[in-house]
Amino acid sequence: MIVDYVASLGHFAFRRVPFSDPSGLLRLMDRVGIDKALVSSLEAVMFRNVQSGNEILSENLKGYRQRLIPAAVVNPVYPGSLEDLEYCVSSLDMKAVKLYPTHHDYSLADKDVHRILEGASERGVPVSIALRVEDERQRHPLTKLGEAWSGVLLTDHVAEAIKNHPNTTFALERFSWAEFNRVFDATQGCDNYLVEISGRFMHGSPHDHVRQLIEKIGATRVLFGTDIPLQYPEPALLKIETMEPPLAREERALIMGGNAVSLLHLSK
Amino acid sequence: MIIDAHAHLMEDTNTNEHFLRECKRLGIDMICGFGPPDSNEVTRAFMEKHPKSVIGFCSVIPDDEGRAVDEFASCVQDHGMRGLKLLLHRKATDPAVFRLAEKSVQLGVPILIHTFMRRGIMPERDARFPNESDATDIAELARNYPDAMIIMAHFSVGDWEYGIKAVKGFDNVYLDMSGTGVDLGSVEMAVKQVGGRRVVFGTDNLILAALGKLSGAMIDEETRELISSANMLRLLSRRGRL
Repeated sequence: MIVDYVASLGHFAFRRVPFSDPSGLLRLMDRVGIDKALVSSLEAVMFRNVQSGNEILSENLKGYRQRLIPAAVVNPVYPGSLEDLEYCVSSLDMKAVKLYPTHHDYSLADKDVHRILEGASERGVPVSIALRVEDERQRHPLTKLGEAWSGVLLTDHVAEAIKNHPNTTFALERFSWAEFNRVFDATQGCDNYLVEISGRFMHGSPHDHVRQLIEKIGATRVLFGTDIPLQYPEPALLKIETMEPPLAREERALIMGGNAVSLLHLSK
Repeated sequence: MIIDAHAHLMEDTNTNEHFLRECKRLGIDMICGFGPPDSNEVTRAFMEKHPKSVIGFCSVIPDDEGRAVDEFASCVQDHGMRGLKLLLHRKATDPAVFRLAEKSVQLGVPILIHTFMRRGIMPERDARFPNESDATDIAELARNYPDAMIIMAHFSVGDWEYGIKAVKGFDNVYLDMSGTGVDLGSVEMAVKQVGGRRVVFGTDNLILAALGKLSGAMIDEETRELISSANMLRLLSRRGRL
C-alpha cells in the first residue's frame, strides 16, 4: 500500500491549484497508484483562525475518509489552539497535527508550542513541522516570512523541539537536504522524528538524497510524500522508483506506506 | 528521444561522467552541457569523449572588451559548440549581452540565459545577484534581437506565471523547464500560453524533477515529443545538422 504523507485540499490563496477537491485529489492519486494520503487544509495556511480550515476539511472529507486521512493544522500562538487540537483529534478524528511556524509567524521555542507538542503526545498523534508551503522564491509580495524565518535559526529550533519533547513524534516536512542535515547533526541520539521526501530540495538521482537519508536515520524513519496537488506527484515517486540498486522490498514497503500506517494507526 | 537543454558540467570529470551515466540510465539521450564560465575546455573535453551524447554550449562572462564574443565565436566555429550559456554576471539588457546576442544570430545558435522571476520580492537575493536577469529582461533582449533564439532557463522556478506571461509575446523566447520548481500545472500553463513549440526539456542537473514534470504534465503526446527533443533539435539545427 502506498501512503502519501504530504497532501492538501482546498483553496490556496496565491494560485489556482488543480485537483484540490477530494474527488480531484483521488483522481490524481489513482493516476500514480497512491492508495491513501494524509491531507490538511490549504485554507488553514492563510486563515487567521486556522480552525475554520480544519472544519472545512472535515466537512469536505465526508465519504472520502477511507482514503483521505485528515491532519489538523494548529497555530499554537492563537487563542484556543489546545482546545482546537482536542476537538480535531477527539471529535473530528484527525490523525496528525501540522505546524507552519513560518506562515503563522511564531518560534518553535515559544511556550505555547510546548503546550501543543505535549498535547499532541498525550493524544497519541504525530506532529508535522512544515518548513514552507511554497518555495520562498515564489512567495506572494504580501506574505512576509516573519522573524521566525531564518533557515539556520528555524532548524535549530526544530532540533531543540525534538530534543525537548522526547515523547512527541515529529515528521519533518518539505525540508531541504541541507535543512535536514542541520537537524540531524543537532539531534544525535534522538529517534523521535521521521522525514518525508517531497521537498523540492531533497533530490533523487544523481544526488541520491533518499538513500543517504536511509543510511542516516534508517528506513523505519523515512516517509513517502509528494505534496500533491501543489506539486506533480511524479518527481517524488521517481526518487524511489529509479533508485539503483533498488530498495530492498522491506525498506520500500516501510517507506511507501508501512511507516505511515504505523504512525497514523491506519488499517491496512 | 529526450534532450536535456540545461546541463552543468563541473571541473570534476567524475561528477560529469556520473551525471551522464544517470541521464542515460533514466532515458535522457543527449545533454546540452556547459562548464563554469570561461572554462570551456571542460566542455570541449567532454564533447570529445562523448560526441554522440554531449552537445557543447559555450559559457562566457560578458565583457565590454569583446573577449567574450571572440571566445563564443571560437567555441562555435572552431570547436563545434552549438549554443551559448550565460549566468548572472550581466543582465540580459546589458550592452555586453546584446553583443553576444547579435553574434548568436550570426552563428545560428541559441542562447540559454539563467533567469529568475524576481519581482523584487527577495531584496536579499537582489543584493547578492544584482545582475541576475528577470523574465522582463529576457523579453527586452528578445525585443531587440527578434532573430535570436533565446532560452529562458528554469521558467518554473520563482513566480512562473509571471515569467510565462512576461515572455509570452516573444516568439523567439523558449522556456526551459529545468530546475527545482515542480508545481503542478506549471508545464500545462506554459504550453497553453506560449504553445508547445516554445517549451524545452531541461534538467539543470535535477534529472528526476524534470522527468517527473515531463511525464506528469497533462499535455498531448505530440506536445510532449516537441518538448522532449523536437524543439531543441530545431534550434540546434539552424547551424546545420547535428
